[in-house]
Amino acid sequence: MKYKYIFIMWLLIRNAAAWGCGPFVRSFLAEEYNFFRIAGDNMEGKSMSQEKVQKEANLASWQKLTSADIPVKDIEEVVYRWTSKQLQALSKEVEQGRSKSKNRLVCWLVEHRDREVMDFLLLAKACEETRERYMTAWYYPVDGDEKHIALERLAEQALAYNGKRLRDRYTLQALRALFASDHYEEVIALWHNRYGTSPACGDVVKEMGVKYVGLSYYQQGEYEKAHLFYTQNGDYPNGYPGEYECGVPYLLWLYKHDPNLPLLKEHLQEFMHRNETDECYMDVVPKVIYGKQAEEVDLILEEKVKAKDMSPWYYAKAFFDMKLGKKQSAWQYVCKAVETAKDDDTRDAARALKMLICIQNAERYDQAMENYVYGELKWFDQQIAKNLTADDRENIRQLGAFNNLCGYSQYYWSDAMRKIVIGYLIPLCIKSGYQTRALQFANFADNCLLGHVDQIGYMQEIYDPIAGYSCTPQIGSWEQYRQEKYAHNEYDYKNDYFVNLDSIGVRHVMRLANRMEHPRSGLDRLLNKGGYSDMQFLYNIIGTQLITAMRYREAAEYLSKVSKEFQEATNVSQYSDWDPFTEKKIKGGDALYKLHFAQKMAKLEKEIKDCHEPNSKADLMLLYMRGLRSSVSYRCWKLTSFYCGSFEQYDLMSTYQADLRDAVNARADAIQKEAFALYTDREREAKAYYDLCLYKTVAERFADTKTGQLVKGHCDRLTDYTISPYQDYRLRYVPDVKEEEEEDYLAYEAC
Amino acid sequence: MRSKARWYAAWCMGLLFMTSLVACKSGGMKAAQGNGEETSGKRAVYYWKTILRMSDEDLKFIKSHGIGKMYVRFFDVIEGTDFDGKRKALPEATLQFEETIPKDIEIVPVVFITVESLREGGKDLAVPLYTRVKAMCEANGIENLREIQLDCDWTVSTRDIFYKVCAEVREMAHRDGIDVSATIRLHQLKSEAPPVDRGVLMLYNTGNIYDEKEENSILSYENAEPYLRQSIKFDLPLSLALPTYQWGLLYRDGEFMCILHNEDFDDEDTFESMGNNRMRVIESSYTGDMWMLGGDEVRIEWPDMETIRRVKKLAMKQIKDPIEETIIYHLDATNLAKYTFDEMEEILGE
Repeated sequence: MKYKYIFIMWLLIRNAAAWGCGPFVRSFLAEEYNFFRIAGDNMEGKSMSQEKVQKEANLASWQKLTSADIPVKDIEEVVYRWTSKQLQALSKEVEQGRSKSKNRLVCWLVEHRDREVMDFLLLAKACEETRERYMTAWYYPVDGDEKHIALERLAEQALAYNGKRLRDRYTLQALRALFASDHYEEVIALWHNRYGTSPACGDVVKEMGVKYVGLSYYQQGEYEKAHLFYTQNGDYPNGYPGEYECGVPYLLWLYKHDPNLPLLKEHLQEFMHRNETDECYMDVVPKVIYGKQAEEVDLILEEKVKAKDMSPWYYAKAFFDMKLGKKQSAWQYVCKAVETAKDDDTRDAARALKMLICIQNAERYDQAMENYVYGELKWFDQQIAKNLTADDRENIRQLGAFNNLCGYSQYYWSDAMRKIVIGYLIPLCIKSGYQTRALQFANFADNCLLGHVDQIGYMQEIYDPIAGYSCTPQIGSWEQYRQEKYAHNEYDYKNDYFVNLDSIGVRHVMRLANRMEHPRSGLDRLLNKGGYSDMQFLYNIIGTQLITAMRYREAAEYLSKVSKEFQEATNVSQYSDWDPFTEKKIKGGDALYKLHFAQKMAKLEKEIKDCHEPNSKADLMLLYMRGLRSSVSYRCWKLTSFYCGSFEQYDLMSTYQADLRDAVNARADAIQKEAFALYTDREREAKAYYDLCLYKTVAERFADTKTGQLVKGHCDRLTDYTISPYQDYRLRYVPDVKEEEEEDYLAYEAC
Repeated sequence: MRSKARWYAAWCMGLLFMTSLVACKSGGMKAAQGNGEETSGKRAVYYWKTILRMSDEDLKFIKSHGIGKMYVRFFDVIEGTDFDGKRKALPEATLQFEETIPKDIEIVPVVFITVESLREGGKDLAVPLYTRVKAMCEANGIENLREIQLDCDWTVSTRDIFYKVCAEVREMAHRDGIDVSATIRLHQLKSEAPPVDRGVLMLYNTGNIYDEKEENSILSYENAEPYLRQSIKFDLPLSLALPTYQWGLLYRDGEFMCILHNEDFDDEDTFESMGNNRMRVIESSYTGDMWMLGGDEVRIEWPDMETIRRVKKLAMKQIKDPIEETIIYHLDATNLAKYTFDEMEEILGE
C-alpha cells in the first residue's frame, strides 16, 4: 500500500514538472492552507461525519462487553462484515460449544456459550440486511408493505429484551427498525422512554441512536429539536432547512439554546473551512465570503448570556477581523482569546493566530520582530514534535514531501507554520532587506516537519541498456534519498527554499552559507536545526550561480568544497557532459564538471590578462568566449542551472537567472568583437572564423588564405559545409551574429 | 303490404342486431377498462409538476370545465446510479403528494421514461416501474386505478425496448384490471402501435427548440400539418392532447441554452422587448439552473387559439376513429388564464 502512494507521488511530481527540477506551478500556495482552528484537527474542510469515530468507539465497547484480549479486527470481522448466514452458522457452533474458527471473538462466544450476545448479533444483522434490501431508488414506502412488516417484527423483538447487559444495543436496533419503517413518533417516544428528552449521550451506543431521533423530529417538522439532536451527533440533516429558518442565524440559534454546546465550535470550524477553501478559488473580496458568519459571531458576542469559555468566539472574531482588514480589532481579540482560553488546544490555536495577525499587521521586519518570531518558531517547533501521532508520521513518511511541494494540507502545526512563514514572514523579510534571514526561514519552513520523520518514500530509477528505465519504490532515510544516484531528488530542487535560493541573488546565498556555518544567535541555531544543513548543497548552488555570474575563481573555490559523491547524486548528473570548449562529449563524464569548467575559465582569464601577443590573445579570448556561450547553451546548461530552461511565471521567481544568462551572452558578444579586432595575422583570423563555422565569411573575405582556399576548394556545394564539427554549435550563434554572419548561417540553413 | 311489413321487420331486426353489436362492443371496452365503470368524462388535464398542490383556481377550472380525469406525472425514469453503485434505469423527480386528490376525479399515473434509461436498463424496467406506481397509489390513497400511462419519446433504435416494457406492464396491469396507455408523438404515428390499450396523440412540441429562428416550437400549423396530411389509421383508440402552456427559450449567440419556466418576463429590470415575442436580457440573473447573461435573447412561446383550433380540426378530420377524449397540457392556473372560458371550452369540446 505504501508503495502505491510513493508511486503516485512520484508520478504526480514528474508530470507536474516534465523538465525534472526547479520551480513549477503549485496546486496551492502556502498562504492558502486552512488555518481556522477552534475545534480540533479536522482541518480539511470536510463534513464532520462521526461514523469512523463511532465505529472505533463501538469496537472498543464490544471489547468491554466481551474481552479486552480480543483484537479489534476480529470483532470488526464478525460484527460488521459477517452475513446472516455466517452468524447463523456461528449460532449453531455456540450451541454445540465448538468451533474451528481462529477468530478470537468467535472462540470467546463459543467458549462462553454466550447465547445472549449471539441472539443480539442475529437480530442486529437481520435488521441491517432488511434495511439494506430496500436501499434502492425504486422503493416507495407504503404502510404495511413487506419491509414494514419485517422491520416492525424486528422492532418488537428488540423491545422485548428484558436484560440489562445489552439493553442499549437492543434499543438502538429498535430505533433503527422503527425509523426505517417510518414510525417516527415511536422513535421519539422510545428515546424519551428510555433516555429522557435530552440528546446528551455519553455513550457510543446511545450516540449511534441519537441521529434517528433527530431525523424523526425532522420528519415531523420539528426542526429545532431535530437540530439539537443532529448537533449532538455532529452532523446536519440532509434537508437542512436553511440557516435563517430558525428565526435567527443557525449558530446564534444554537448558542441561544446552549452557549456551551461542545459541537457548536465544530460547526463554526466546518463553515470556516468551507469559506477558506472558497477563498482559494473565488476571486471576490473577503467580505463576500466571510461577511455573513462575521455578523453572526458579532451577534453572539453581544449576547448577554456568555459561554463558560468565550475564547473560541474571541478567536473567531479576531479571525474575521483579520480577513476583513480590521487590524486593530483583530489584534485585540486574538490577545483576548489567548488570555481567556480555558484549554491548551484553544490557547495554542489562538497563539498561532496571534502570530499570523502580528506578521500580517507588521510594516517591517526588525529586531523586535525577530525576537518575537524566535520565541514563536521555537514554540511551533515544539508543537510540531509534540502533536505528531504515529499516523501522522506514516502519512508524512509516505507523502510529506509531495504534500509540501504541492501545498496540500497534511498536519495542522506544520501547515500553520508554513502559512505564516512562507506566506507572510518571508515576503516581509525581503521587503525589509533581510534576504538572508528570509532564506533561513524558507529552509526551516520546508524542512522542519520532514525532519521529524526518519524516512521518506521515493522512486529509484534504474537504467538498463536492454530493458530501458525501470522504477522501484523505496523508503529510505533523508541521507539515503539525497545521496541516491538513481533517484531524482525532487524535493530539494523544487521547494520554496530552492526557488528563493535560485532567484534571490548569489550574494545573499553566500551570506546564508556563512550564517549557517557561523550561527550568531539562538534563532540561527534553531533555523539550522530545523533546516537542510548539508553545506555542500549550498556550496554547489553558490558555485553554480557564480559561474552564471562569470565569477569563475570564486566559483571554483566554492565548488572545490563539493565532493564528487555529492555531485554524482544531483539530478543534473545524469545528463551527458559536453566539453564546453570543443562541444564534444566527455568520455565517461566528469563528476566535477562545474569545478573543472570554473577552474579553466579562471585560468583563461589569467592567461588573457598576461598575454601580450595580439593574435594569441585573440585566440584565448575566443576560446573564453566559447566557454561563456557554452555555459548557457542547450548542451552545457547544467554548468549554470539546476533545470533546463527558465520559469518566470511563478510569483517567487525573479528574472535573476534570466538576467544573468543575458549578461553572459552580451559579454561573449563583446569579447568576440574585441578578439577579431585584435588579429594581425589574416591566416589565424581566417582559422578563427573557420572554427566558428563562419564559412561564407572565410570564403569571401579570406579567399587568399589557406583556410579560405580550403573552404572554397572543398565546399563547392553548400551541403559540404556540414562537414564542420561545430554544425550544431553554430546554431546557437544566430541570434547574436552580425548581418554578414547571418548570411553564413542562412547558407548553412540551406544545407 | 306484407312485403312492406317484412321489410319493416327486417329493418327492426337489423337495428336490433346493430344495437346488440354496439352493446357487445361497448361491453368489451368496459371490460378492457378494468372494473366495468365507464369513465366519467371526455375531458382531461395533465398535471406535470413535482409537488401535488392544487390551488383554488385549479379546482375551479376542473369543476367549471367538467374535467373528469387527471393524468398525473408520478415520476421520471432516468439513467442513474442506485444505492448499490450500479448504473440502472432509476426513478427521479418523484411527485410529492402535499394534498390528497379530490375523490371525484379519476387519476391516471403517468411515468415519463427517457430513452437513455431504456438503453441502460429497459429490459428490467417493467416490474419495478409497475410496483412503484402501485405503491405510490396505495400510499397516497388513490383508489380505483383504471389506467397507467407511459410517456416516452422513443425512436426506431429504442422502439423495441419500449414496446417490451409496454407489453410487460400491460400484462401485469391487466391482471389487476388496469389499462395501459401510451403517449404518441406525431412522428411515431407512422410506426406500428405500441402494445397498449390506447394512445394519446401529443399535438405539441412540434418544432425545434434548438433553432433560434423557429417561430413557435410548442405548436405551429406548418410543423404539424405534414404529419396530418393523410388520414390516420392507427391501431389504437386515440385521444388528443393539446398545449396550453408557455415557456421562454434562452439563446446565447444563437445557441439554445435552456428553457425558462418561471421567469417574470414583465420584469423591466431584467428583460427588454425586441418585439415579436422576443426579449433581450439586460440584467444578468440566475434562473435556478444557469445564468442568464446580458445580451442573451429569449423567445417566449405559447400556442395561440387560432393555431390550436386549426391543428385540432385537422387532426380530428384525419383520424378516422372517434377521438376518445381531449386532454390539455397542463394544469397551471397562470398559463390557463391566457384563454377565455369559451376558448377553453372550444379546446376541450368535441
